Amino acid sequence: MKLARDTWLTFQYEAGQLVHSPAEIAATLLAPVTFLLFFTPFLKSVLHVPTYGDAFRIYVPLLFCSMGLFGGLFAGFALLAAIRQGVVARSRVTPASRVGLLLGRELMHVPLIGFQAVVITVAALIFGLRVPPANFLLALIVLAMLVLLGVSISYALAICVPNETALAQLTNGVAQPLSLLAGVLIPLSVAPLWVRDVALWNPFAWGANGMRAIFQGHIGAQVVWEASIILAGLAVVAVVLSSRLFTREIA
Amino acid sequence: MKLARDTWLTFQYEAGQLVHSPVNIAVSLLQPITYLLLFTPFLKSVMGAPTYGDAFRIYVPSLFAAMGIYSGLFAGFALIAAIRRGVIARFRVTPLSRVGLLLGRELMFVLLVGFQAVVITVVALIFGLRVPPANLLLALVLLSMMVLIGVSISYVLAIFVPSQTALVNLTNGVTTPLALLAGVLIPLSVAPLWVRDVARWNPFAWGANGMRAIFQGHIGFQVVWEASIILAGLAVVAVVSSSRLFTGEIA
Repeated sequence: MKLARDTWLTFQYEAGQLVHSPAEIAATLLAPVTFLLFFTPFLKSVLHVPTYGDAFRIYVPLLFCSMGLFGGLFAGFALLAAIRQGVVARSRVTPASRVGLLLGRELMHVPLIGFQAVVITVAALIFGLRVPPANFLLALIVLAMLVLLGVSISYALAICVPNETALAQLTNGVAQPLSLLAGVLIPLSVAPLWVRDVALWNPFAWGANGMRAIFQGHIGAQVVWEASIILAGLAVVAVVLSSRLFTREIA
Repeated sequence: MKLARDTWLTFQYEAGQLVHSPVNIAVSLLQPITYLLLFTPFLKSVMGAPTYGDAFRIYVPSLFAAMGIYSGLFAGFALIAAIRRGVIARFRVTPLSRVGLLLGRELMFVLLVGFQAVVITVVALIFGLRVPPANLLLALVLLSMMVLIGVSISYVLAIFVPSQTALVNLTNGVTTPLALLAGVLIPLSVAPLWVRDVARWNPFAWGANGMRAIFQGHIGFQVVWEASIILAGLAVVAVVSSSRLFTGEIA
C-alpha cells in the first residue's frame, strides 16, 4: 500500500515536470512523424500492399515498437541526470520508499510514449489508417510492457555504467541491433529465415510481431498471446531486478 | 596559392585532432556497420535480390548517402564547439586566410566520411560485395561532393542558429526527411511516383541514385553524369556561400 502511494507520488512529480516542457515532447515527435509520412510510401511499394491503410497497419505498430525501444532504452540518461542534480538524493531524505522512487520514474515513461503513440495513430488515421479502438488499446498495453522492459534495462545499465559517454555508446550498441532485429523498418515476416530465428530471442521482436497482428485484426492469433506472456514476464523480472539494483547501489 | 596553403594547414591540424581520437572514429562506425549487417538481409528479401552481393550493391551506396547526409549536416555542432572554446578566435590572430580556415575544416569531414565509407566497403567485401575499384573511387567522388554540400549547409545553419538545442531540432527536422527522401533505406527506384517526383528536388537523392548506378556497374548512365553535375554545382555554391557568411559573421 505504502509502495503504491510512494510510486504514485513520484509518478505525479515526474509527470508534472514533463508537462511543463511541451517543447521537448514536441521535439520527440519529430522523428516518428517524419518516418510515418516519408517511410510508409516506400514500405507500401516494396511490400506490394494495395492501399496506404494497409501500409499503415503494417508500419504503425513497427513505429510503436521503435518508439518504445528507443524511448525506453535511453531513459537511463534522465536517471543519471537526476542523480547528478541531486533530485534522487533529496527524495531519499523523505520517508518515500526507495522502490517507489524508481517505479514512479519508470512508470512516467509509459504515458509519455503512450501519448506519442496516440499522436502517431491520429496522424496515420488522417492518412487512411483504420483500426478498431479495442485493438488499439491492446496494442498500447503491449507497448507499455515493452517500455517498462526497456526502461528497466536502461536503468540497470545506467547504474552499472554511470558515465554518459560510455553509456551512450553501450546503449546505441545494444539498441540499434535490437531494433533492426525486431523488424522496425521492414517487418520480420518477410526477412530471411536466419534473421527470424535470431529474432526469436529478441523480446522486442515479439512485441513488434504481436502489435502488428493486433493492428491487422488478429487479436486471437497465437503470436499475440505469446508476445503478451513473454513481455509481461520479462517486464516483471526486469522491474524487480532494476529496483533491487537501485536500492542497493543508489538509494 | 595562399588560400590553398592555408586550407591545407587547417586541414592538417583538424585531421591531426581527428587521428588522436581513434575511439570516436570507431564509435562513428558502429551504427553504419550494424545497419550493413542487419538491414541488408531485410532489403535482400524485399528487393528480391538473388545474392547478398546484389543486396550490398543496392544498399552500400544508400549507406554512403546516409553517412554523407548525417555526418555533413551535423558538422555545425563541431564548428559551434570550436567557436565556443575559442579555437577559431585563436586562429584569427594568425595571418591565416579566413576562407582557408573554413575550407580546411570542411575538407576534414570529406576525409572522415571517405574513411568510414572505405571501412564499410571492406566489411561488405568480406560478406560478398564485388565492385571494381574505379567504380568505388567514382562513388567516393560523388560522396565527397555530398559531404561538402551537407557541411556547408550545416555551417550556415550553425552561424544563424547558435543555440545548441534549437540547432539540434532544426538539423533533425531537415536531415531525416532529406535522408528518407533520398531513399537511404529502401531505394527510390521502387518508391511511389509522387515520392520520386519530390525527390527530384533533393540533391542527396541524386547522389544516392548516382552512386547506386555506379555500384551496379552503370558508370556511363545518364543519372551518374546528371548527379555529378548537380552535386558539383551545388557544392561550389554551398562552399562559396558558407565561406562568405563565415568571413562576414564569425572571422
